[in-house]
Amino acid sequence: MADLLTHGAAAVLVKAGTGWRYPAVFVAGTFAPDLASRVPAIGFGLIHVHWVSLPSWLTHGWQPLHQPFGLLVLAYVISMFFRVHDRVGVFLNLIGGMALHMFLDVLQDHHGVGYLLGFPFWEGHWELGAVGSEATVWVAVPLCILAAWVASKKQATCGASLEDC
Amino acid sequence: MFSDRYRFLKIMVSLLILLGLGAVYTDFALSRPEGYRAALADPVNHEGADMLFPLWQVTHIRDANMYTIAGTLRDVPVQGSTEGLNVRDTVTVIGHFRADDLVVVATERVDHPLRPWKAGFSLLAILLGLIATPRFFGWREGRVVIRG
Repeated sequence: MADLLTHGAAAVLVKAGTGWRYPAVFVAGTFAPDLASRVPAIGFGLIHVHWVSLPSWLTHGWQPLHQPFGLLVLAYVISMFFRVHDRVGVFLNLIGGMALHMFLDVLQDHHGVGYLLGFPFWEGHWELGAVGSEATVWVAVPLCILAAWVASKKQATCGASLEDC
Repeated sequence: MFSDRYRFLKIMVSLLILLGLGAVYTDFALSRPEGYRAALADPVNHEGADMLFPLWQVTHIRDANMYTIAGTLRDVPVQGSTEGLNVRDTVTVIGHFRADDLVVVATERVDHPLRPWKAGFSLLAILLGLIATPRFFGWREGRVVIRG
């Protein structure tokens, strides 16, 4: 995974270039794969490695939330907590953010261990391997500054409007 | 599909699908015929098998040529140079399995010195996200509302 600052900044920039409807939902969609899968997996993994042995499902079971099919279901569940007239827009923006996240992640190289993009229907793994797994560290801060500037411009133009502008 | 009709049921079914996916994935990960876990279960037939541990953490340095790493498994012994290595460093180890002593003989080690920065940036992003959430989302009549 790329770092979440880079993911968030990239989401703001992509959203700014493709309309400004539900920008916060799009950014949340970009955060979702790591929040739902990596954070609990790393947290339980640290407990497992350093303190007490945990059942395997607690360290492995979150992985589908970093895969397209699991993310599709997750986006649906999250969207159902919003008001009816927002749900389709929320769902689509979550999916968009999640797709952007996966796109940035598959650019990375993990020495042959790619992402299970088709699980549970296809068990092969794939990644483009174009950049190192820490390559985004160097661009995270400049990208964030740029994203903050673009977001402030957009918010000033659009205000609280949910319409494209 | 997105209406309020059977909303609770739809959410519950979706959560069950996610739970099922988690169970299927766990079974898939644990029953893979390759990897250190499989080698431990049947060492003789995995003699010389290729091993790859991407982004595992160094947990102990025994001597100049032996250390242990942990990821989804605890304390996997690795034979290889420990030069420049510290406990808690993140490394990718590429090597092969040796059945005699259940050790991974490293043929290549990739250090990831920027890993703490990456984790720090991610934590910072989560913190910023938590701070910003009330600005963009609220709660009214049992539903999430978007504020901007």
